Parts: sequence; C-alpha cells; structure tokens
Amino acid sequence: MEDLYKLLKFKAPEPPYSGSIIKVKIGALKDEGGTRSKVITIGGEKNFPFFSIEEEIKPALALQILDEPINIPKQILTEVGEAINDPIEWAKICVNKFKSELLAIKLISTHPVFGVKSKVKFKETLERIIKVIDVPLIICAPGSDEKDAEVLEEAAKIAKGEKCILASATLTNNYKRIADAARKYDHLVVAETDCDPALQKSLNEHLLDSDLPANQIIIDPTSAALGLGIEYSISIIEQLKQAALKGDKSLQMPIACIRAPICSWSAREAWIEDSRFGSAEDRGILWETVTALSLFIAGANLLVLMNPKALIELKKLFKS
Amino acid sequence: MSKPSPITVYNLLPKKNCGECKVSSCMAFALKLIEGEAEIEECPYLNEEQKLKLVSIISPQIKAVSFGKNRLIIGGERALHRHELRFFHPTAITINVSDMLAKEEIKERCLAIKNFKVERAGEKFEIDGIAVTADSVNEEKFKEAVKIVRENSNLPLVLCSLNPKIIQSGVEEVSEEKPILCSAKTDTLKSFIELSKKYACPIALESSELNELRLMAKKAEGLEILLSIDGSFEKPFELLSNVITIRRCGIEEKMREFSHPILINLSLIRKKSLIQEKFFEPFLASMLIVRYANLLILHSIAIEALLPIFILRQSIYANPRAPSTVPSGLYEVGKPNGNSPVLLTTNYALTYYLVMGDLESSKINCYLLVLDTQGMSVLNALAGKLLYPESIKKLIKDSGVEKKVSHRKLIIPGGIAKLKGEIEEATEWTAIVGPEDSSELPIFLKKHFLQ
Repeated sequence: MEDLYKLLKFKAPEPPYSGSIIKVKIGALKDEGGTRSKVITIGGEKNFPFFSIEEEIKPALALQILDEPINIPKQILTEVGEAINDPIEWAKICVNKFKSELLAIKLISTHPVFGVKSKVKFKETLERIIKVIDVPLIICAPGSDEKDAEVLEEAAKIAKGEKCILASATLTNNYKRIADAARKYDHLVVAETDCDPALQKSLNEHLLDSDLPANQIIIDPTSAALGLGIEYSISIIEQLKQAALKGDKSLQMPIACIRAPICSWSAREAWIEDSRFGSAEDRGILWETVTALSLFIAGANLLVLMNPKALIELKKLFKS
Repeated sequence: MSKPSPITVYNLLPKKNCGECKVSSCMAFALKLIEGEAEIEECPYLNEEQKLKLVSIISPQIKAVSFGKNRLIIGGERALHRHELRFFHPTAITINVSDMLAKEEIKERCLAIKNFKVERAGEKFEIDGIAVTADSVNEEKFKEAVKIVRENSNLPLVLCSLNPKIIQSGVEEVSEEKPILCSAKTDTLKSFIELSKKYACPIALESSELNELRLMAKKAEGLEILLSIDGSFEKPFELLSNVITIRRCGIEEKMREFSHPILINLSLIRKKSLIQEKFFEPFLASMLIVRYANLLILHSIAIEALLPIFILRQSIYANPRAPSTVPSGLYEVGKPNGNSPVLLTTNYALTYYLVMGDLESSKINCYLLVLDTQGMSVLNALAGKLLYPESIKKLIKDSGVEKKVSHRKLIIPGGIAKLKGEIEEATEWTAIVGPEDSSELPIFLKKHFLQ
C-alpha cells in the first residue's frame, strides 16, 4: 500500500470546467496600426488562478493618473510630488520611474460637476500622452451618464488604432455609442456593472448585439474594496468566472478591476492618521494591495492601482 | 460543489413535523441540515442507523478540529467558493512566540498579543492563539517558555517543534488544554502519532510534497489532523497552489487523506528565506485567507499589517445568504429634540457602524434613519434599486420621525445626491446633500447645525 502511494506522482484534479476565458490583447504595435512599444494579453485561462499546479499566472497591473488633480489621497501626493499638477509628467513618472506596464488616465476634468479645466483641454492632454508614453493605455471616462459617451468618442478618435481600453460602458451611459466608437477606431470596451451578475450578463449581451466582437470586451463587475464589502467583489468575480468556465459565452471575457483597488481609499482605515492603527503609510499601501491581491486570487485578470508604492510591492511579490 | 438533494435527506427524517427541532417541518429541517445551519442531534427521533446515514450524506467534506482551552473550532468547510454555500469557521490567526526570548520578553509579547483588540462592524478582532516555537531546540528551554506563556495568556496554543521529545516536554505543561502539536515529518510521524494518542491532541503533518503528505495522513487516519505545507517561501504561488490542490482534493474529489484543515506557518518566512520584505507576510496571509487556510501562524503583531488581514477574514467568512444588517428604523444619537438634524443611511451593518461612529464622535444630538436596503451599502443599494424615493417616504412615515421633529429637513448621503429632487417630491421634505464619506459628517454638521 505504502509503495503504491510512493509510486504515484501526485496530480491536481482535472478542472471540472469545459469553457475558457477569451484572450484579449491590449495595445497595438507599429505594424498593427498603433505606436505602442509592446502589447499585453490577458485571459485565456481554463480554471481559477492556481487551481492547476503547472500554470504560472500573473495579473496585468496598471497605475492610474488623473488629468486634473482632484481628491488625491495625501500619500499619493507625497509619492508623485509636483508632477501631480501635470498629467504628462505624472504619466512619465508612472511609466519611466515606477515601470508601470499599462497606464490608466482618468479624464476627470470632463466631469460636469468635479471638472474645472477647460473641456477642450483633455484632448490635448491625451494627444501628448499618446506621443510621450509608449505602453498600452486605459482611457477612463469621468463617470457621468451625461458626458461619458461623448468623451470616450473623442478619446477613441484621438487614439485611433492604439487598441486602448475605453473605460467604461454602463447600462446608463450610452453604451452603444461607446461600442460603436471602439469598433470604428479599433479599441476595447470595459463593460461596467455593480456586483450584479444579471446586470453584467445583460450589458455584455447588449454590447455583443451591437456587433462588438467578444475579444474587444473586458468586464469590470465590481467597485467594493477591502472594508467596504470586498466579499461582494470576490463573490461576484467567482460567480461570473464560474459561469464563464461552465460555458456561458456572454460572460467569457477577462475581468478588470479598474475601480475597486483605488476605491480602497474610501475605507477610513486606509488613510486615517491615528496612532492606534499604526503606520498610515503602510496601511495606504496595504489597502490597495490586499484589495488587488484578493480580487486577483478570486479571478481578476487586470488590476488598476493609484499608489506607486502599491505597484512596487506587488511587482516584488510576483517576481518572487 | 455537489449538494445532497433535500428529498434524500428528508426521507431519512421521521416526517413527524413535530417542531421539536425548532424548525416548522421536517422538510425545512432537511434544508437547514444541507445548508449547515442545523445539527443532526437537534432531531430527537433519529435512531443510530439513521444518524449514521445522515452523517455520511451531510457531513462537511473538510473535518472540523478543535483546540485550546476553549476548544476553538477550525475547518468543517463544505464549499470551494463562498457563494455556493458559505465558509463556516474563520481562519484562526495565531502569533508565534520564540522560546529564545528572555522571560520578560515572552511576557511582553504575550501582553502585546492580549492587548491587540480592534472593534469593527460589531465584531471584535482578537488574536486567536499563540504558537510557542522551539527555536532553542532544547527541551528545558521550550518547557519553560510554554510555562511562561501559559502564565501570561489564556489563548489556545500551538506547540511548534520538529522534535517529538521537545514537543512532549512542552505538552506536559498544558496537557489538559489540547494544544496543536506542530509538526510531524515522515521520519517523526510515529512518535507524533503516539503523542497525539497519549495527550488527545491534534497533530499537524508537514511535507513539501503532496504525495508524501497524503501517505502521512493515511498513516495517521482516525486522529485529529491538520495538513501543512513545508513551502519554500521563495515561491509563494507554489505554496498557494498546493494549498488549493489539497482543498480541491478534499472537496471535489472527496479524498479522505486531504479532508482536514490546513495550517500554514508564515512566521517561518523570516527564518527560512531570503525574503525580508515587510509586506510579504500580510500578502501571503491575505491570499491564504481567500484560499482555504484554516490556521495561520504569523510573526508580526504590527496593527497596520494585522488590520487588513482581520477585515479580509471578517468579509470572507460573512454569510453571503444573510448580509450583515442592523434593524431598519429610527435611531437616536445622544439626546435629540424637535430641532435636531435627521440623517439617512442604509442598514448594511458596516455602513451603519461607520456612520454611527462618526455621528457619536461629532457629539451632536441627532436622529439617524436607517433604511432597509437588504444589507447593501449606499452605492450598491442605489445601483441595486433598493434605495429610492418611495422607500425613503415609507421609512419616514413608518418610523414616526415626523412626530419627533418639528422641521422637515433630511440629510441624505452624498452618494445619492442625484436623487435629491425625486426624494423631495416623494417625501415633501427638504433634502440636504451630506458628504460622501461619513467621516466628514462631524465637520458638516457643525457647519450647518451649530451656529
């Protein structure tokens, strides 16, 4: 009996699923109609992360900047310094100094309430970012039902052919216009909902119905960070991924968490300067990273961070 | 996860619908048994044969193990993903105490462990146990350390040494308390099995190789066992992958040798690897809480590192079927009167406790209206259509707040600012948009209501 056990080479159980996640390529090289120096592919998996022993998996990690410094957590102000006031400089720091392989830019200046700068300026900013920065880009709308489609249409045109991620289309912000812009100018679209599998499925189906190919869609089903209902985020990711792996074609797109890690700054424990809770700097790093790691382990393929130190720490972990 | 059918379970029950189990019918009891919310013993009319059959059908795939003075339970899990059922027994978080420390240092560390207390959303975070570690590799020194720890703490213990003689010297000090003996390797397994039988203590089995671990578990069958990976911490994801494989074998494949709780000693990172990064321990702890560790031994008691781990554990082990809620209705903060401000929030426990904490710290007397959003936070409730003008109108009417205050002004969360107009139309109250983060409430209230 003992010998028999010794002879066996232990194997992980076969995945119980028959489906797989679609591969989505972010960014376009020169010979592909873009100007990026490299591209990043996410998706392709047939099981949850680390459920099969052989595979080596890493999430795609991005840093986010804002085109206008509104409500920036103190710790990020400290890390980025003066450059926070100039999106081009801030972007350069993220990519050149902190080695971010993807860059997200949120065009918050176009928000009807929060934005202050001239509404035309964002185009100029984006044009310069595309010239100066050569990593794949995530272009984030301001998060306004009224402005998102218009801003993403303009952005899609400016970034024509670059295969950027347009974030995000929702059920209430004219997703069809955003999908059309992505098709016309060759970009990807994030389908965004809030912790509801039925709504996510419905939005994905609407996007597919508007003739956007499935490999141009990424889903962002969650915004809840650590201490703010991260269990909802984890469970929604697991539910969607499980349904996709079981074969639901309308859910087989990779998952991006564009909002959740950054939302962790809304948790008071992430920033409050209170000696009873220990080092505020470390908490700031841990809140983004623990949120990001938990969502990655649950099945997220792409994570967007804001704190450069969070990126550095996660990179160390994934290099090990 | 495969669940037994309710009919299969129902057919083994007496079908008397007597209600003595405090559930209205045998069918409802069957459902509760399947969900892990009721115990077989609660039915008084089952014979031994029926009980055995039921146990084989509804027992958790992962066995439960209890340890320590208060018999803390770990394991007893049934699902790989929390949405499929729920996770039952939160990962025990223990802290190591080395026997190389001087007596006073051990006392201090015990005190620091005892003093770690944080309250959040109605739950107290406290360290669950102490792992006394025989770094000295000396029987007398370990025995002494266990004694000092016992004199200074009541927490459940894990005794850590690879040498069974050293373990024995320690367990003799606390033999009545059922410490976990951690851990046996293939060459010491026999001695550990004897210790486990002699002192009725659970043993942890450790290997870096899953097949070897399986063979050890086979040999120790019948005892209370924990499984441990002697991982190379330079490859954290290999460790994680092994933990996941063990749990998948236990639940998906029903492999008996792997249907035990999992113990991971992260305090070894400092000793065994070149990695000295301070975030490595919380990173690994977080991933292992999401994926199946039932007991963790940590080194750091820095609150900034432990806080996210405890909050993550609280979240993961929350019952997804029953979101943590507080009763809806009207709450008083301080001693409000007819002119006091009235605020609105949701009945998600976390939201409620945060808002209440901030209102209390503002020292302003006021009323808080708590809306039933089925345990959703403000933004999720808004997205999920559980927070809307008509529901607020009904809450105002039902809560009796209109008799308590003479004004008609409601402070609404900043996150639902866009509903201001509709709320005013439905309730005929003036809606004042408050801050998005409740931490700004004290300043907001002082500015608007204390002039």
